[in-house]
Amino acid sequence: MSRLAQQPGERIDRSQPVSFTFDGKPAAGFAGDTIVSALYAGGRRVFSRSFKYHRPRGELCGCGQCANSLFQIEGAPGIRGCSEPIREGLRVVHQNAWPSLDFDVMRATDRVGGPFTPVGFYYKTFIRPRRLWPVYEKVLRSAAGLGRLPRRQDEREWETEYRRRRCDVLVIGGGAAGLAAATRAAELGADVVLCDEDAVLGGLLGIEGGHERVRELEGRARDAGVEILSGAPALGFFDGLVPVWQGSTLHQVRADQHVVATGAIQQPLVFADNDLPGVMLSGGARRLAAAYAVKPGERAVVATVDDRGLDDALALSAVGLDVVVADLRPDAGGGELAGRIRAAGITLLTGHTVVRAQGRDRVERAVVAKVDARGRALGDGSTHDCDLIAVSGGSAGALSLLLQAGGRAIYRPEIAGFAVTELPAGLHAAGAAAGHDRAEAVEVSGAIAGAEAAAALGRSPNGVADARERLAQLPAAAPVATPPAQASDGGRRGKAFVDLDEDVTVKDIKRATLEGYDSLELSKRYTTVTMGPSQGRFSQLPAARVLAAETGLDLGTVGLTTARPPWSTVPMGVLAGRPLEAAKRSAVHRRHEELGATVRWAGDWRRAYDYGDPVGESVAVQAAAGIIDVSTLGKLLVRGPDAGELLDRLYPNRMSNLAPDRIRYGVTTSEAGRITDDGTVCRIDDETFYVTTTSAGVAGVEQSFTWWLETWGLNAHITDLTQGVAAMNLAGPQARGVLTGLTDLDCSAEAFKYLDARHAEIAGVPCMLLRIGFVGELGYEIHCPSVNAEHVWDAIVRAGSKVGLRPFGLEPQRVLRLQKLHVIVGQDTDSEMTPYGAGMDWIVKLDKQQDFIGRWALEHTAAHEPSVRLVGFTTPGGELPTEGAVVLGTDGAPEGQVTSARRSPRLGQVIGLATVPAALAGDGAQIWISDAGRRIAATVTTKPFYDPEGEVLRS
Amino acid sequence: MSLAFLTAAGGASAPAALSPFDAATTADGGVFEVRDGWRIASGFGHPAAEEQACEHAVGWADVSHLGKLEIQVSADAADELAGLAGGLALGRAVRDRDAWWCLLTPVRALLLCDPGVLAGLRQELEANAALKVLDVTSQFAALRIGGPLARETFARFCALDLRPERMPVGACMQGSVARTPGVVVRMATDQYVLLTGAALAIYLWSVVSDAGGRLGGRPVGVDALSAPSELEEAGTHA
Repeated sequence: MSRLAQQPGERIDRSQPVSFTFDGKPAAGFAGDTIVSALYAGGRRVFSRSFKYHRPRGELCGCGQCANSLFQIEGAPGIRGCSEPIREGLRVVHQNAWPSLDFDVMRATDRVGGPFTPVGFYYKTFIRPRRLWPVYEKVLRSAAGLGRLPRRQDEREWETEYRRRRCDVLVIGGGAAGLAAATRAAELGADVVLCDEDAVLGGLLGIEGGHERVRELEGRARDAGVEILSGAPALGFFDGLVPVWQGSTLHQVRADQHVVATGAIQQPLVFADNDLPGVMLSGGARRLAAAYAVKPGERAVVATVDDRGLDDALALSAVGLDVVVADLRPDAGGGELAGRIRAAGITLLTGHTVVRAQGRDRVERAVVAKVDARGRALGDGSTHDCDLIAVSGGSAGALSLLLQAGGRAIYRPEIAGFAVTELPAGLHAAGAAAGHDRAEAVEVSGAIAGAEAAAALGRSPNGVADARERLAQLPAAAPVATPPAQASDGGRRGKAFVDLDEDVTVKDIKRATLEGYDSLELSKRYTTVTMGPSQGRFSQLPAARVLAAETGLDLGTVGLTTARPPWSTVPMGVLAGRPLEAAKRSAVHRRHEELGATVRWAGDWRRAYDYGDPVGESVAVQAAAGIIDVSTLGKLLVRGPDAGELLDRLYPNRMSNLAPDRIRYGVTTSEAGRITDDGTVCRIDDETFYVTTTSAGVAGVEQSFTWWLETWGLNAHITDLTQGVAAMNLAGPQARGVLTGLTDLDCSAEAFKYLDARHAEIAGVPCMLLRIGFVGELGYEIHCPSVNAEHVWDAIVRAGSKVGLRPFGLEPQRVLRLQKLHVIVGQDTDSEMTPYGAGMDWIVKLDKQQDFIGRWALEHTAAHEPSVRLVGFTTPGGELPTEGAVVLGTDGAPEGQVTSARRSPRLGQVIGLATVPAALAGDGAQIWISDAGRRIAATVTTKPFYDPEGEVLRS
Repeated sequence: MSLAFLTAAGGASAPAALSPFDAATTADGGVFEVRDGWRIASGFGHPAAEEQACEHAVGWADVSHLGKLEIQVSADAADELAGLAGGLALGRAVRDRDAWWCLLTPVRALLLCDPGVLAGLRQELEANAALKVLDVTSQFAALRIGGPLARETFARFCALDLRPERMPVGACMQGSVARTPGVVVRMATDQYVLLTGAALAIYLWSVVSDAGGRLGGRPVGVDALSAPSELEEAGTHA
């Protein structure tokens, strides 16, 4: 065990022991421990195997940002062990190693696989012979990846709650800067949300002994009304929307102002075998000690280029480690910290750095040497026995979110990294992300950013000037040395890693550069550097340095890769959220369910496809009567003095001369004369028309009608009544009798003719009756208030049951309408079909006075024979072609397609609609249908199969 | 011919109008009574729990029986519309003559009222030749959502900015609600009325139940949230 005595500000609760298992073996820790801190305290140093070479990897960052301690937990892969808290009974399993974490046979790729797995090997090594690629692919896919998804679907599912949150200011980052910014903005009256990826607020300040100050800042923030989301990383910046993931909730935050206080990321150093377990960021080692009271080692070599490393060295020494410091700076910064290091009796080697780590599967020694500007050792250096190499390669501002939001960054040699220079309106940077490294400056910069954000919202920017002056008077940042691309003792052994996530080495980047991938973006795509779970946090700067050294470019020119979301890794399931599938249901939907209907999607409606017996249902309609719910039909009311003219301009046929109480069929076309929708128009009075559309088309028709109404400036109003008016079609030879029994209306053929509309009460409910019939039988469409629809439906079904009426669904309706060759727009027509092609020449009234939509195109179309026509067909052999099957032209080339096909129970044959070459569009012509290897002979007809003269319909 | 078929059956012998939520409220154990010709869920069998939900979490009640009139005018009569109810303004719900008047566009307004006053108001409005009045009661499903977590409930399925400074009591907002077009009126500090298309009622009920249920809420009877709203109390005129 390496648990320290109680540390001030430690996160663990020693009174609450927690038991869990790691790879099936018992493990223990305390409440507040992470998986890594608990296992580390128990003596484990290897937490994972690397992605490509399966090298053992130890802890790196200690804060959930690296990929060195990813575990499989309760079936979920890729969980970050250095930030995931333990809980009683948790089952933690290693990933990416077999048979065990400590002995992984795939390590062979590291020992002997080098020649086969150079950078970009998947583009070169396994491509010949080509026929073996499927085998290679299978093996590579099996070997690649991190962790395994559970096989069972139910184990892969979880629920994520979406929560939309609007606020004035979103502060990203809960360190000193973020807390100060949030508090200031809230105190100035802004509605503020603060999010931080860590479960405990405070950031670096809390780890570096400032936990009391953190508590104070957090208290002030809460008192000011800041909504604090902890354990909640901001995933990215999507045009002002910032998704913040917190456990099972995805907060979709939209703020007017954003303060990014995401801190800085301590960088690793590059030297031979810099991935050995025991090579750790000095901040990570310090975090283990400060937050979890875990002693990270016994003897440490701290290699640093900045003051932070020195500060961490002092902290490690204070908890009992025997420390040697190698500072690359010739004077170790020349500040107070160097003096404190020496005063503490710590060996301080200036101008030195670590050039090699040594050890079998963990750090045993560090070779430290003085190096030149390119990192080459000057002399043999010295070897130090140690079990920890704590490195601080400078800090890189966590700029990704700022850059995603439109900020720009440039390289600044004095901080050996990139800094933001330009921010778009509404975006503020604070703390280390804005380049401040001293605690006081970090906090003051936060307060300034918060005040500025509030001021941008119109609040008084009280105190901003004073705070700026105070910030200007604070000491400048301590000097930082620029680490070499690689510190090297000149030896050939050992890999020097630039990217631990993807096992990308210095050699890989160099080789890629020689192969022509000489920009960071190209190198990224070729070597996969920065593409791992850490998203370049620890590899972007090292890779840029190698590339700069190889190309001779300065770091500013090499630049950074494009910042893209997600900034933090996130399970796909989190993004899925609550399934919001807006389903429309008719007012009689309950009755369909009670009748056992097969309910299917039809556009955005749930509709009764059939009631279990589509054949019987269609037969009943033609033998007695049937009722179908057609409430899904679009229904528009067009009213006003210019309503008739409006419709004349929208339809190719005339509507303004329609007599009251009469109905007319119409199709709408695009300006190109192509059919867009169809339906009926019923005139209610001089200024009022009731327009029906297809079920799926109503939104488009309403939009089009409204757009043209506005354009033409006509005096009319359009109201969509679709959801408020239910409709049902009563059809069949007994329909009149059924209806007569339910109303006082004279339903005789003379008094209520085909294409008449009447008002009537049915079972006490006011209804409008339209005598039309899509299914080809004597029929009535009954429109009534949806709130009374069940009552009307029940009354009709009850009355009709005496004569054999049956409810029928969509499928029987499709068979029946096909017998009449009634077209379904969208199924039998496509985006190129004109009324002429659909055989509706009669509907286009080119002699109309008014201009109408599509007129110009239709005039031209009328002058030419369409290349294809929509016709009916039968298959004498009885084969049922698939809808979409190809119709062949005379030369055998595809020239049309089957749009609808069904077997008609009444006719005892296969019938359908198809587009066919115009030359074959005559009655009796024979066509050939090619259908998935079948050739089906069919005979063309242009007249309905059933009731060709419409006598039944008009009866 | 007339537009009578747009208005629910009336009169003593008429069948009760069924709310578009009826299947859902029935499935959730609704207790019903007929008021003003409508079958209304007056409770869900747990009055204390319903009261508790409204007081400490969130409750939602079916108020689809509220009368709804659409008023349209031509562009040159927009001032006529804006002058109704003492002055209408976009984004505001004006309380006047036992109804809420919401100007949705400069030429279109929606009026919400108790069923009992619907016919009178309609008659009064139709007397003005400049106004085209239509009974759209059946067109919309209406939910009253109230309680301290009402806004949090909306946040689970709706991106509208319902913060008090953006949507004060008496405000009216149109937008996407659970991925469908909706109208939201804030009736009181913690009370909203949500209108969506009637055909989407069952879907919407499931969304609200799922979101509100996780916050400790539950469906409540129509009277549970009918305490006089601040808007009603103040007789707010925008």
